[in-house]
Amino acid sequence: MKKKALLEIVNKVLEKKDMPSISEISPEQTLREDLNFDSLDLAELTVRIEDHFGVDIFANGIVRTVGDILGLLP
Amino acid sequence: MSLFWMTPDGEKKSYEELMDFLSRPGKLPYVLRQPNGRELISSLLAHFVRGNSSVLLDHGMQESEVASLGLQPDDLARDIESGDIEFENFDHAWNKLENSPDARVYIYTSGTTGRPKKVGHSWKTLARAVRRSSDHKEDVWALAYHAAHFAGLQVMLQAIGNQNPIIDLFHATSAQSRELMKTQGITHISATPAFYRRLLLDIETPVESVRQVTCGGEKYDAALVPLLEEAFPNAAIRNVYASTEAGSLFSARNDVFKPGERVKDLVRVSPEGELWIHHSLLGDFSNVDFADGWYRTGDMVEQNPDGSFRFVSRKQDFVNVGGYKVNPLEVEDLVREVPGVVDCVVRARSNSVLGNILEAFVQPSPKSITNDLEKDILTFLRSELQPYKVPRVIRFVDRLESSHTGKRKRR
Repeated sequence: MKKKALLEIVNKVLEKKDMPSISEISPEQTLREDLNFDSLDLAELTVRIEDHFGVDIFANGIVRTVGDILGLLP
Repeated sequence: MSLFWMTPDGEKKSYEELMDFLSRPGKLPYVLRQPNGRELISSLLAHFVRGNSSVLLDHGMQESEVASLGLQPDDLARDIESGDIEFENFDHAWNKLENSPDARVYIYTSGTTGRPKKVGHSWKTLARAVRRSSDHKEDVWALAYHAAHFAGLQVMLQAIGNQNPIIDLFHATSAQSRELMKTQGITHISATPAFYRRLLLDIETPVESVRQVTCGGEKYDAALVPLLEEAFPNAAIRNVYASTEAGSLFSARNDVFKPGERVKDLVRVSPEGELWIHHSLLGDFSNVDFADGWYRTGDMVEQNPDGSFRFVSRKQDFVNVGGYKVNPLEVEDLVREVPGVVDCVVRARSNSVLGNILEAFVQPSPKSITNDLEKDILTFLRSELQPYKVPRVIRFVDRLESSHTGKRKRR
């Protein structure tokens, strides 16, 4: 469930960048290189995750991969 | 009988009734906080006409906020005895008001941080902008500001000075606004851009009676002007710069203000672009430090070589997004240009990646499809703005929250 919700959030960010949506996310995907997120995208990602899960993923350090995010979600 | 006041549901009071109230003896509270604008202004005038001072409070203030103003319980409970006064006529009463040099009304500015500032206004600073002449005899005013705030006082005093009717639009529902605009022959409206945005939704057909439309209290909203021109085809549209501290100072047809001869040397622009006003133009302050005689307005302006200037934003409006300063008002102006958008407010939301990101709250027109509208807004903003200025989150709301002064809420 977590993964599906996160996929939707990632796709929302991608859609707004006019990037093609992805059908799957995997833990080893990096946010910067694989998903091509810049810092504004990361900021948007954090607030969307915060709205959905109530967690600020960047509150306590650096988050590099999809797996890092999944590990922080309740 | 000449009409003094009309409530949204049609209750009327006459100037004869006002005069009767002003001359009658009785007890009046020292601290005025009636929710009813007519009672509030009537009591204020009754104090002034007797040379008595009073305090004006927004009735929406919570007790804890009132307590933080430093008012003593004794002050809040105090009544002032008022003796009876005979007025020969209205002009005689107005004369009395003008000749009450020691009376003050104390107003608290809505200060965004810290303790609100207390400002004492004499009749002279309070009524400085009031114009009385036979040209104004037939004016009919809509009251579209909170009565306890400076802008509301300005509207009421301008109307009363010329014995013009005041139609209370501030408390009107959509249906009442539509009806009042259609039937009351309103000639003058002064309101915030946010108020007009809502009013324009209520009005179905152009209102021919309106001759003057004044925007104030918030940043000038250029996209609103063509809409106002359409809704009020016979009106001159103007923009005023006013503050609780100084009252109305400048007015302009657009957003470029040129200080007149009277005040030209009493306003200046600081090196960082903030508008400063000389203390001689202000009411009396109790808790503001004027070390060098200049009051910092917090309004950021751009000055032209001819001395005119344009209001850019409030100093505290700027949002830091990842080290870049963004003026949310600039973004709002653009969002409002997108077809399907009724109104918009852009706010900062704190964010652990960038410090802040921008969130736009958008009121769509009833027919627009929000999914498409989000795309249209983003496409347009990206074509006009640097990436960090484009709100990353857009939320659609039925109605924008506004503060009780009628301004858009930013925090």
